Amino acid sequence: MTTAPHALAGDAAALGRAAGRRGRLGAFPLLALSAGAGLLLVAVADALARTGHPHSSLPFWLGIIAILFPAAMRMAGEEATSAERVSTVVLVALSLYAVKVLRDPFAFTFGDELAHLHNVTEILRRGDIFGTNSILPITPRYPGLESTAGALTALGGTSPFAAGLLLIAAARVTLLLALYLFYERLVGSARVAGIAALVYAATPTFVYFSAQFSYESLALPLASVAVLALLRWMTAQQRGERRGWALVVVLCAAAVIPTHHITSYAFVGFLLAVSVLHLVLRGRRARGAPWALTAVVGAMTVAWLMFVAGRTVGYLSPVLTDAVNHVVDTIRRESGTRTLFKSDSGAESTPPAERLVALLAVAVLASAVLAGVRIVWRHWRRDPLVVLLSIGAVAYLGTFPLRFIPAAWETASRASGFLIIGVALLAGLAAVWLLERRPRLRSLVAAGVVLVVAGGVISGWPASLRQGRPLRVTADGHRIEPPGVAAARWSRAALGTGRRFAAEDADARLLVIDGRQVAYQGTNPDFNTILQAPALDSWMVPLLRSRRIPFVLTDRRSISSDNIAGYFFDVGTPSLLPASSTAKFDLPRVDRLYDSGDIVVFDVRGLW
Amino acid sequence: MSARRNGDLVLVAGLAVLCALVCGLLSATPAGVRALPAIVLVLALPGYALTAALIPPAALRGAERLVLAVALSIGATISATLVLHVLSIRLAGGAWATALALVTIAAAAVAAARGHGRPLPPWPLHGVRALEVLALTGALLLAGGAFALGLTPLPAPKDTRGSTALWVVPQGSDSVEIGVRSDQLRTATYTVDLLLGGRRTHTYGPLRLVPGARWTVRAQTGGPPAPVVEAILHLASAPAAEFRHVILRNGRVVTPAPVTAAAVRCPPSHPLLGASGCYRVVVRGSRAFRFYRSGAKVPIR
Repeated sequence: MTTAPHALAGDAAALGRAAGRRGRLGAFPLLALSAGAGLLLVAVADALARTGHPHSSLPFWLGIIAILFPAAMRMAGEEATSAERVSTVVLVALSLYAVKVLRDPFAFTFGDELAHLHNVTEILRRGDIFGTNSILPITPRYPGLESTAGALTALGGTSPFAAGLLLIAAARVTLLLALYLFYERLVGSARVAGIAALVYAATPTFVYFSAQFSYESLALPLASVAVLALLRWMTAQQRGERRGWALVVVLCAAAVIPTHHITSYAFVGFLLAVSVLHLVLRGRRARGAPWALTAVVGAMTVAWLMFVAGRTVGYLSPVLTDAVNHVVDTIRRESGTRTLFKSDSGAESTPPAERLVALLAVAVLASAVLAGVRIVWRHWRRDPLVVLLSIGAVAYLGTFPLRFIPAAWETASRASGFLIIGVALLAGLAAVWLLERRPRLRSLVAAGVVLVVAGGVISGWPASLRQGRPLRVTADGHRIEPPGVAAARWSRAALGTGRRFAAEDADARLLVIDGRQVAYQGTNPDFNTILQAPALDSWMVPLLRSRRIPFVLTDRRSISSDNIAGYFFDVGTPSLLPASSTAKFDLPRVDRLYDSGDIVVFDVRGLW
Repeated sequence: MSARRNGDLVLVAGLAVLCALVCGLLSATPAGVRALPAIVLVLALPGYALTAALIPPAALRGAERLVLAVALSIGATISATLVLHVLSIRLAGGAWATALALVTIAAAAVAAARGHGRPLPPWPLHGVRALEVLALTGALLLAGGAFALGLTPLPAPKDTRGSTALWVVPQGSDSVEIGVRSDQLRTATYTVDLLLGGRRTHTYGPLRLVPGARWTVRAQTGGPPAPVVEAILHLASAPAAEFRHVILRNGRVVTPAPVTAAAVRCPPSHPLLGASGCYRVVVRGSRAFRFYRSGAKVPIR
């Protein structure tokens, strides 16, 4: 096959032909026009969803197709120049990010986004990093995202929200472009690289979760640039150039480490695995194993963990041990499995047609991985990077059973962002192998790319939250606020800032952002039970007292415990907690300060 | 080292100084003018200069230079922030602008010394056809239209649940603030009953509130000791039913918050009063710092 190393010459020859026929920019202007139309369709879908019209899915999916299909067609062909492919990757990265932004163009509404937004405002207010965060206490110890957003805010005079959008847009472009360049250098084919970069967007978390203003959304792109630099270091011939690339790897790692814990550990693991595979595949005498880089980056990571972010161990270990324990319990049949395409509460369900698309996407990806492994075995079985990515791709398929296990599905979903880098490479290799034998199947390959990306969107984000929901709405020509936002703003105006609250997940985040309060939520310690139980237990008041929490905000709407959906207006008949969950605080020594029906704020200092 | 041969480095260093001046050092510059220079200074210039310092230009393609410029710029911003923190320099526009401009100029100087400069490339869109420009303009207009539609507040769905809030907050020891905010989908009319010690003493209203409107009143309650104060909201359409209910049983005045430093004013007679409010002095080893009530830490030189 011509996707052997250094097949770039064929692409270069196509450059002149393509430029002559289509103009200097090739088909890029047409792809941009199609992507623009796609975004307009997505915006229409969001507007329909926000105003309660059914069938908003149709324009949404048409918009996704308009963005992806022409790009995939162009990538699958031979005509496009490398520059046009680069432009197309940038276009797709920005367009798919715009799909997420169009869902909520007014404000951040993902749970983690609000926690990180608080860190930015704290940095700007205090003039220093390492503040406190009552929602995600670990995040101030990883200030990379927030310090960059803070610099953009302070220098540009924009809002932290605008700075965050801009920063993540730059990160999205960097991620896909770095992967494209990495694939292109690795296998020597711009065609393989183009398809692989698009297939990477099939990561279930790509369009929504990984596009949020969160530390992982910045760390992964920085790590992908480090991986590109590592490849250049491994293949550089001149000593000076090699030293330069090594410094780029270290500088990128130095940015990843204070930005996100898991990504920095994954990068150290990646370096170690490359070193070991290099030893295994090429022997001790072969140059190019990154042992020294592994040691340097590993030492930096451990130093950050020891001297700055020691509490990371306590933060991550429950998540991982919980996942492992549930896997063991499920294998022993001591705990039940998770139902695919349904939320844990059972309230959310994916439409049957979308389930079919998601399952087909898995089948296509699995087939592509198997075909890709065969190609790798023939051409690259001595290349440590390609072999490592292939192992990652097979491991990605191995994470599918974890999606049936309640406590492990999130771990599997988060791992997919790393492992799918290998899946995308093998899919690109398999697609080009197929196209070289059956050039007429180009449309089918492009449709396959759209299918796997659509499958990722479906399996990665609930159907009801894909399009916009009512947040900033008008009634009789006036703007009204969702009840959680109104309560948070009232708290700031009436009580001042910096008050300590216990509240449901979504309400707590709104209290932190819109109310500038210190709000606690969740199960560790167990504020959730305090808020939702029908009666006060003996341990509850001591917990409130020990945490010195004077204010409790109860919210009967079940949606308020959902940190993705809880910020919007309720539409239709809501699911409510029993009235006793609120009434239990109506005690002789408790003040009932605020009542908006479902939301009530109590001053419980009398109970201390 | 000629300026022409190092055209890109001279341009980058010059832009860094200009952007730093516009964004950080001339704080009176309007936000709209500062946005683009800020993006360039934080997301492009330091990384471009660092890339040039580390990698020979012949070893890089344009797209590689782009991703390295963005990634290393972000890395430089993060590292600069950590250094500023270690040096106990307050993080603000001026500090960031100076640090990033210094990084850019230093890296550009190293790059020039290593002979990694490049002449300025020709205008990249030279030779682009009119139809291509038209298509790109159309794409931008379509994307702009999408965002214009997305940013337009739309009517709420018909079955949206509106809400109405009633509150009571102590104001000193002998009065309270009572308020109502209506976030219903239509104009609604309410009355509010004020009860002191269980007896209705006043009825406010009818209050006709359009969606999003609020009404407040300050009511004298007598005391101290403050009696039990209740406010009950009724819908005009169902006056007998209690729609919302708040009650102050203890009448506690909300005390100053522990961590809202920005909101706390220093007494004019405070012995340590600076431009950012009052502070305390903390000595750590051979260094001393001003700790402001806002949490800011400023070294004393």
